[in-house]
Amino acid sequence: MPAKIRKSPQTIALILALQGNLNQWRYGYDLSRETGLKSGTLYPLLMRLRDAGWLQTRWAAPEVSGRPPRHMYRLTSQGKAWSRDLLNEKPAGRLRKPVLAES
Amino acid sequence: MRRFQMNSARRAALSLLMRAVNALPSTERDWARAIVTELEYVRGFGAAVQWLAGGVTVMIGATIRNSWGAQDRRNARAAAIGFSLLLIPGYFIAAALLNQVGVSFFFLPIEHWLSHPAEAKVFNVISPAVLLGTLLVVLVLNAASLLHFGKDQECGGRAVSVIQLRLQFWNLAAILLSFVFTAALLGYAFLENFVPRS
Repeated sequence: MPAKIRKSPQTIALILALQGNLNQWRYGYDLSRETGLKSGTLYPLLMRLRDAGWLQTRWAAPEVSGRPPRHMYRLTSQGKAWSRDLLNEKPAGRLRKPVLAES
Repeated sequence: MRRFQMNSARRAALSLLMRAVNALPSTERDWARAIVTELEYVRGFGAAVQWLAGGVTVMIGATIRNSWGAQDRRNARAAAIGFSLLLIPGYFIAAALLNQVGVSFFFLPIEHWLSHPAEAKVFNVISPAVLLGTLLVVLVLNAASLLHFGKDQECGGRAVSVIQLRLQFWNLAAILLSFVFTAALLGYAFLENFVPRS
């Protein structure tokens, strides 16, 4: 039974970004640029998804030496299935098109 | 050269922030570190400030949520809503009092309503309902957040009803202010509407 995640336009945008390349680990800033979500919106969503078991996190060594390690995210196998269900769910209320930042 | 200075300033800020992050409770530390380290990769000064401001907001919110229990949050929410609602009668009372001492600026919008008979009629019906209704909502909301009704068992196994009263400063302050404002409004209404018999 998946933990309840509210189907908001922001959640949808984030899930779509995470589903883009399912097995690839993503950085917070990259997700922010792709979804157009500010850090104040993005991180509470990531926290909620992680606490609900949808998201895996890990610390990765930096690509350039001297820089701090980065936190990375990807959907868990359960998260992949639950997110597909969530996206296929009939919308409960009026949903706006997900905000996707121009690249 | 300028780029070097910008990077050095950013590194110095990052190092300071990392020290601040280490002071956070362990549950928030990982996420705070994640937000701060990403700052190194955010392009542009404005975007970096925005990123940081969002991160600080997230951390303050998370710290408050995790350090306060559910009941504390309920009390805080009731007090916050209460004080926001108190602004409505508070404005009316402050404007009327200031008008009495010659500062009419805040009373002008109210006076504008009262100067037109049709609008004054509507105002006289709506304003008591809004002002006293608001105060009643503040009172009920905050009193409900302080009172807890439950069931308990005595030594003999007999079930008893229990009423618990929490003493929370901000909720009590909201309740007290709602009483003071109610007294002020009723006093004002009394003075405005009744004249001594001759």
